[in-house]
Amino acid sequence: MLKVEQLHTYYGEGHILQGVDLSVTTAQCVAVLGRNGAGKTTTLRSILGLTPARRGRVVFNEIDITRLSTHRIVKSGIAFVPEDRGIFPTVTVEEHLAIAYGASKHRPGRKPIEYVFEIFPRLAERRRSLGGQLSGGEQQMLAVGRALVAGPDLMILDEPSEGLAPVIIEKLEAVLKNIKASGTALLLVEQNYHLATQLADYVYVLSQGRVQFAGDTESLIANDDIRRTYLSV
Amino acid sequence: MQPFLIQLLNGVQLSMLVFLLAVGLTLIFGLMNILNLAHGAFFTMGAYFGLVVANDTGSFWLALLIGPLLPFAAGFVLQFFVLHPLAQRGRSTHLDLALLTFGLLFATAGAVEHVFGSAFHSIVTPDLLKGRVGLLGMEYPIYRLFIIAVGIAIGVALVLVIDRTLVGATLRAGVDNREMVTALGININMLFALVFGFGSALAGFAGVVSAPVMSIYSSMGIGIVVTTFVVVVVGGLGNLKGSFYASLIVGMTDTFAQAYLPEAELFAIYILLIAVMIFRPQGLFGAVGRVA
Ligand SMILES: Nc1ncnc2c1ncn2[C@@H]1O[C@H](COP(=O)(O)OP(=O)(O)OP(=O)(O)O)[C@@H](O)[C@H]1O
Ligand SMILES: [Mg+2]
Repeated sequence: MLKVEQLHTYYGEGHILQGVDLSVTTAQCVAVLGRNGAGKTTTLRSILGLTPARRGRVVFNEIDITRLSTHRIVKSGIAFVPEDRGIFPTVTVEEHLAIAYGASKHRPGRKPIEYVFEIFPRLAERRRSLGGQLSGGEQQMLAVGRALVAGPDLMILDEPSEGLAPVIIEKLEAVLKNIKASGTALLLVEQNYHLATQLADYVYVLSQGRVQFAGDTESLIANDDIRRTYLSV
Repeated sequence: MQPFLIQLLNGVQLSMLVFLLAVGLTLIFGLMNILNLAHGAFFTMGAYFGLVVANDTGSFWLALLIGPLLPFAAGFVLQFFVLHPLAQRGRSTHLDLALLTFGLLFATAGAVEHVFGSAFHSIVTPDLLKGRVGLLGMEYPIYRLFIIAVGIAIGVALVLVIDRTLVGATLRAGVDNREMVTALGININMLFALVFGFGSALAGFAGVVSAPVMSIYSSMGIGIVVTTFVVVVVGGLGNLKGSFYASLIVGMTDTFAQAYLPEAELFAIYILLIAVMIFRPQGLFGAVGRVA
């Protein structure tokens, strides 16, 4: 469903992605691992058109989205949970979900905001709170909930477990497993090796803007060299 | 000299007129980070387009309704086809935009003078609002009270829209984090251009509203844009409620300086501006970059 071919992305003159290939198929969870600065976030930003690639191709559901603007890419069925969670400080919980709902009129699978409140009852309690008043865990739930509203074919998450307490990570893991089981593909960037290997069917390991390893989760677990060199686990 | 109460009402009336302009300017700055000096040109455009409509139809109300449409279209086009493409090519520092919109302000004044000449015009007060009413033992023009009411009504309506509606929530989200708004599938360039057009339409609306009490002339937008800027800075760039209070402060300062300290009239509001810039550069009313 998602196919990334030979992506080259620059920040100014800095050649960050140096030919990244990866693909995600329907109902699959693909994890992208790698150390700080490996280019994981940049890969996601290039897919979403936030930092467009200078060379290479991104194809989603048979459509070339490489040069489309971000809102078009998202409309074609991708939802994004960014690294900083992208919660709006001056917007209430309910409004976050309503904005996402209003922006996905064309999506047959879009979910009413009550659906998110069923998954995250805590958000229902805080529906009138502003984004800026939420705890880190609540913000992450809201970011995932907001991504769910559109009923995406593919959900892209950038380090969703970062900075969260262990109990909340467990909750997140359960929610992401359910999302995957319901047929939404996941593209997951993680530093949390445990969470990534729990969820992912297939793994890419990135270093210095290149894919150093690609294989199913079992083969990563079995590959001590790669784990030590690129992941320090 | 006129009694204190009359001065007070005149001050409020001027404040509300300035507020109609400041609102658009502060929304545009808060959302798009654009210092739009051409805002005064939209004031002029609205006034002249209203004048044409009023002369053709004889109706003030049609002028009020139709006059703002031209600045709406012009503002939309300016943002969507000029400023946004410039920003995409990296030419959108405050200086770039200030110079460009400064040019537009003077070009509009020149073009208007070319078409309409340098004469002063005005739109006749509509029959409904002609005359004066008794107020605490004095007489005050109904039309000026109408301006005050319009300013307050628009202020209240805008606060409600921004605080309570989905469009308002989306605008707040856009100020907070515009990239994330696009990542929700929203065409933010379209949204920005519409807000730009709306702010310009409000400026044009102010141009028509002011026509029965102030003259219409080619460079009318140049003086007022300076006053409006003082309001926006005093209120806090991007702060809607702040711009309401700041309009009152600036309108009152100007009116009372004129009445009681005529030697200071020319610079009173600039002293205010300088004091705010030195002691509270974020404005008197809260943080930078807020829309509500
Ligand atoms: N806006 C930017 N401007 C210039 N260089 C950048 C920018 N963002 C990232 N970089 C550089 O690009 C490289 C890849 O960054 P990226 O954010 O993709 O890494 P990452 O794998 O997501 O790291 P982390 O795990 O810390 O989030 C880094 O060397 C970083 O310094
Ligand atoms: Mg990152």
